[in-house]
Amino acid sequence: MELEELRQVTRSFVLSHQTLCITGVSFDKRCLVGYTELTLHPLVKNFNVIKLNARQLTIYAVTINDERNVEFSYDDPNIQILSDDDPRRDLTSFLKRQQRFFEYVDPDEGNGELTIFIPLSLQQQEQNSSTTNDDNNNNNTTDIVYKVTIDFSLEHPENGIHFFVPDDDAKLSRLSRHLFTTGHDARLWFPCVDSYCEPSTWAIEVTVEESLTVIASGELVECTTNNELKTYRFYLSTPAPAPFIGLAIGSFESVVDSNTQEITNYCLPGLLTLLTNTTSFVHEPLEYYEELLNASCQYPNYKQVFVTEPHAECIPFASMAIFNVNLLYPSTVIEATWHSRTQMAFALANQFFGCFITMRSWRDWWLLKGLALYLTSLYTRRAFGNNEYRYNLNQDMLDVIRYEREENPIRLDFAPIKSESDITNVNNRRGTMMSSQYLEVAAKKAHLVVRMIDDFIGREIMMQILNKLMCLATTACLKDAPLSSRSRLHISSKSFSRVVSTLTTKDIQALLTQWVYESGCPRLIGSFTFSRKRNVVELELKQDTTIKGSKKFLGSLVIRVQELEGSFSHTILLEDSVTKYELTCHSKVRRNKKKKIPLISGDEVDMDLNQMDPECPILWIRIDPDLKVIRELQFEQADYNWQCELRYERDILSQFEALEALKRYPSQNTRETLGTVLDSSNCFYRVRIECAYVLTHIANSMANTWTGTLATLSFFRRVFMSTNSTLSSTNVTTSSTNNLSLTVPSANIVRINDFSNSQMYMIQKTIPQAIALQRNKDRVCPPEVINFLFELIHYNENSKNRFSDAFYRSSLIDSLSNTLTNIGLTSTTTNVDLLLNHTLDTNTKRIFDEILLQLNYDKIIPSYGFCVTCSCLRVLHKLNIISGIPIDINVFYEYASYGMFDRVRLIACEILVEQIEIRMNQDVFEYIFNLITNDPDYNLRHKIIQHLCHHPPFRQNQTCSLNNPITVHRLWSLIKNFAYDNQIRNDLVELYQIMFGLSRPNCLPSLNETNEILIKDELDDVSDTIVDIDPERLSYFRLARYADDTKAAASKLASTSK
Amino acid sequence: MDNTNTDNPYDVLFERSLAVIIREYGFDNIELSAYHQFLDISNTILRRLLLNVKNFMEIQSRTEPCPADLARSLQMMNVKLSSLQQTYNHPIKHRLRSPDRQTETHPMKLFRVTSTTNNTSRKHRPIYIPDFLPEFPDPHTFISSETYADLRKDYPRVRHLLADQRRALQRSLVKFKLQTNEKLSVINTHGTNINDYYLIKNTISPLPYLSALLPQDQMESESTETIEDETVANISHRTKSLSATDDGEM
Repeated sequence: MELEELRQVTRSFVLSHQTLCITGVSFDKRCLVGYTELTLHPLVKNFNVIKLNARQLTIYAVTINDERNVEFSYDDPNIQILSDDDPRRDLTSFLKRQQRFFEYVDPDEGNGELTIFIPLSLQQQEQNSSTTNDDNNNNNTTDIVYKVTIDFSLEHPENGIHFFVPDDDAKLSRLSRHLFTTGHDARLWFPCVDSYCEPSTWAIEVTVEESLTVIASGELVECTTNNELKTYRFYLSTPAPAPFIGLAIGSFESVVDSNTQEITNYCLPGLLTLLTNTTSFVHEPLEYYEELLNASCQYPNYKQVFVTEPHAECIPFASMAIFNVNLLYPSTVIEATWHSRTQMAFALANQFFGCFITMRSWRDWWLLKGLALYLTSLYTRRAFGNNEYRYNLNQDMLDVIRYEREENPIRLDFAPIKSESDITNVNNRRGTMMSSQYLEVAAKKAHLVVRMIDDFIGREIMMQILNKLMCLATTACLKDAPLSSRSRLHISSKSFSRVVSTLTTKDIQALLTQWVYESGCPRLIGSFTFSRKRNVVELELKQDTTIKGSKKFLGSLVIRVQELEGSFSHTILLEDSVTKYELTCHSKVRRNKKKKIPLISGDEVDMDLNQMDPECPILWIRIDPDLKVIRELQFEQADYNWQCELRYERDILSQFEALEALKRYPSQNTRETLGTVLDSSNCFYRVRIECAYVLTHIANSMANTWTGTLATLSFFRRVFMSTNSTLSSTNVTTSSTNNLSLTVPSANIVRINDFSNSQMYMIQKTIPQAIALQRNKDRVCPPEVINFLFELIHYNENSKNRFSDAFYRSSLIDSLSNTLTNIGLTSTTTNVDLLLNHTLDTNTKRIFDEILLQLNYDKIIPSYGFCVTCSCLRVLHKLNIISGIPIDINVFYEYASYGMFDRVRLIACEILVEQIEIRMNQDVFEYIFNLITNDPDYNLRHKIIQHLCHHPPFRQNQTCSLNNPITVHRLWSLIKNFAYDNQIRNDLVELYQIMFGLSRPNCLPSLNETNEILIKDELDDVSDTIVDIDPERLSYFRLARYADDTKAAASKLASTSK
Repeated sequence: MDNTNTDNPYDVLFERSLAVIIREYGFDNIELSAYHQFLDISNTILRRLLLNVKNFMEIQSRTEPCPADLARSLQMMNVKLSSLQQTYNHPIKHRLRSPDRQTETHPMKLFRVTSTTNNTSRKHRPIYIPDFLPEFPDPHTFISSETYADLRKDYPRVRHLLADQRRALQRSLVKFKLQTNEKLSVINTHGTNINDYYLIKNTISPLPYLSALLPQDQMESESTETIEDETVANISHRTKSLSATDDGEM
């Protein structure tokens, strides 16, 4: 079994151990110098060339088994991918070339940028020994070991390693200098076999100045000091592939976990208190995973490093993880907890599935990502509760469905494209060529699929399988384990389904075909009627296959019917696109309405059944209540059923479904039901918040007949405001200040903040936003709502609160922005003075003043993460767009410049991108492009491009002032220049596709025909080298081809040297 | 003072004269049952006295009594003549004066006495307490709950003051900073000069994450002085209403 799997990989050698030695690091020059030594075992007879991965490195010398200055060549096609300027500017040919180049350096196909020619003398030795050994045993190549030592240096890296070096010379700034690995592209910072299926043991040695600390994968074996230089030696005995080797150097402060000595946390100087607070829980997920999998973590220790400007929030490595410093939070901040803990739990889950057990190839990316997310969600379910878990699950599913419907189909199996016709969008390609947005949604889908497998085979068996995989992998880590057993350290979709079928009798192949090898998700439209004569429910389910991204689903589906006599589940089989089912009903129509009704949860409740259809004993019906299928659901039942479902069903997903449906039924009954749910304290807080939003929605659609105050408003007054006091005294004591809100006598004052109940806090924080969306008959926000919000801001008092009110304040500002409407805005005057002082609505002006005050104040006394500033900037943008206040664009430039906090910068940049979308502003477009090209913060560049993809200035060659050849060239040259950062290049390519489509942009003049033919010929040559799938043939083909390659290279070298 | 309705003019006269005597002794008020008892006793004593006088008169074989008979009968009933003389000379020896209202002061005004605790409520004191006894002290000295109502009225005022102070502080801080630091106009002026809308110019920090992740807003608010008692009042409000809304369930 292992041999067969090894054959899929066509590398001609096996790597058993690698030593990485960094002898010098300079922050001033942003460079590092070092050497690496690989221990290789050849697998083929004519082993004359070694192909390794190395990019943006300077290779000084290669030594093999003490043979110095061995010949080598270095060829990085990705640098030249567009250097010969292709005049066609179309993505179809670009993608083909890019894929071809990726294959050209793909280590899993025996390729690489660095080609080392084994000297003849060594080859002869090998042949001699192999001929002698040949008689004794067939295992002829394992005895020969090549030690390849490569001296290299890395200068001003664009990617792979990030140097954070502040400009100034202050002591703290000097202390805060650090560097770290940015991702899993190991070839960008040292020569290696950059493959996920080439695990080896590691020795890492780093020499730095005495003040610096080094954190790397593996166990710290030794730390010696010599002449103000410190040398750290790490050894990783658990085999790990090169992409999961992490490194971080800096003057970190550290704290050892108080519960588990193996966990150490590191952060930048000055943040130690935050670090202690944030990481105090980390032992919990570790213990949970070990208990769940019944296997211990195979790494001797685990390190968490918090750094600035990493390329992602959380990057897991073998035995360590690198996080964004923004995940740190003080104990006074409430909402940061959920996100930070989830991220850390995810990194820890990767220590089992992801970094320890890795994917065999990018085609299996979904499995490992899904497993890690699956473990994470099991932990978060335990830590944050089942409701939160189900809520997140539902959100993920909605995201996946939305993406499939609106953007691209998600096919989790990242198989390479085979023919030109397959290029339908930029994401239908190899794993390394996906855009980050696609990967993000695909990860969610992967998690859902793994969960489906778990449902299919059962939780217990699932855990047994994971345990088995862990055990197998553990045996490969033993000291005397043979090299071939290391293949147990990586799994693929195939090997996984094989393990499943051996341990259970179930076959998951059909499931994988539906959800992994193919894209799309079904859309179900359902409705029911009740036949009284036969006492059955006639259920009709249709599958809509006409819309984008839909796919017919065949399989079983759970239907849960809540009747008067209780809840009954039926399993039906979907076989056709329209199917009718008859579900037997267990209840008779009741005359006696007093009896209690049993629910699925076991509770019995009294219901008011007067509204109910007296002929039908069905209270409500749910389809697929436990999210077993990724589906879009549209179910029809009467508004009374939905109201009942919302009110009495205890499952939050059901409540969300009902809330969504009730938006369509604005009526007095709906209003009452929503009011009750909003008020009921045993409801999940997210349901109550959503309820507030739906209530506002209902109120707006009933604006003409609505009487009385909004239930949300009175609820808020009742719960969060002080009890009514006499008006007279308020008026008497009102001092004469120029404050606006004091002129309005207030009966209620919001209580001083007490956020000790986090659910109530979330409700208190979010409900004003829902209230602010209310509109009256004239489609503007009622003045009483605006006054209410201003009073909340005015009377906000946090002095006696344990927690920070930063997010509460920012939420109130968001609420203010929700009140803005463009209705009643008649003036189109360009006279600013006139606009601001006369024509502008007084409330809008009041909001504007308040925003400026808060923005300025937040600068003097910052809130956590500048969240108030972020909200204020958003409102300023909205005031500009909706209310027509001419905000100077320099304000946003100011906040977007380097040196501001990155979240603020991001918001400012997003606003600028949206400004381009609306105003088609050429200068802003230039500014954004400059940021993408030059900004030191790579994460920001990623995020800007992603936001541009969501808000492009134009789509698909639409006519607009920005759709011109200059933009095409600008974008094309950007794609060209990002040679080392694949992710940015992929995102840019996606942006290019969104703006111009896959073929040549329309705004360019058509090409000369002869020219085209010429290029076609050149590319035909390329296209027939695209991979064949037969692994046997492939390996033969590859080896033969690269033997030729190397000969050609050698002769070329020889000729140049002469 | 109530009179019993009797037909006998003698009885009426007697009752009235007795009442006058009682009032002479300083009683402004008397309960009816006590008065009746008193009337009975007086009647009996008088009857006894007259019977004795009549007996003496008959023993002396006279048809009309003389003062000596009366003196003799009084002696027989154990009444000293000298004391009678004394009573005659100083008829109302123990006359009680009504309590002096001039000495009454109003210190309670300092303690925020509400209108409901003024004279009106004093009238409602129990009937068994004679009104010559000193008045109750001001209610706030012995009914703690009365002051509760006061605070409830004051709570909004305190909150007003607090909010005003905080907002004024914010405004003046921003104003100060705008005058001392570089500033940036928010409005795209197009040549017109509007000077009201400015932002403080950002200072570029080499380590922006430090100020963002270690916010000072919480520390600032902790140091501000707040009055203790309205928080207490507030907590009592809160616990009251939370019992209806509190949820820990999911």
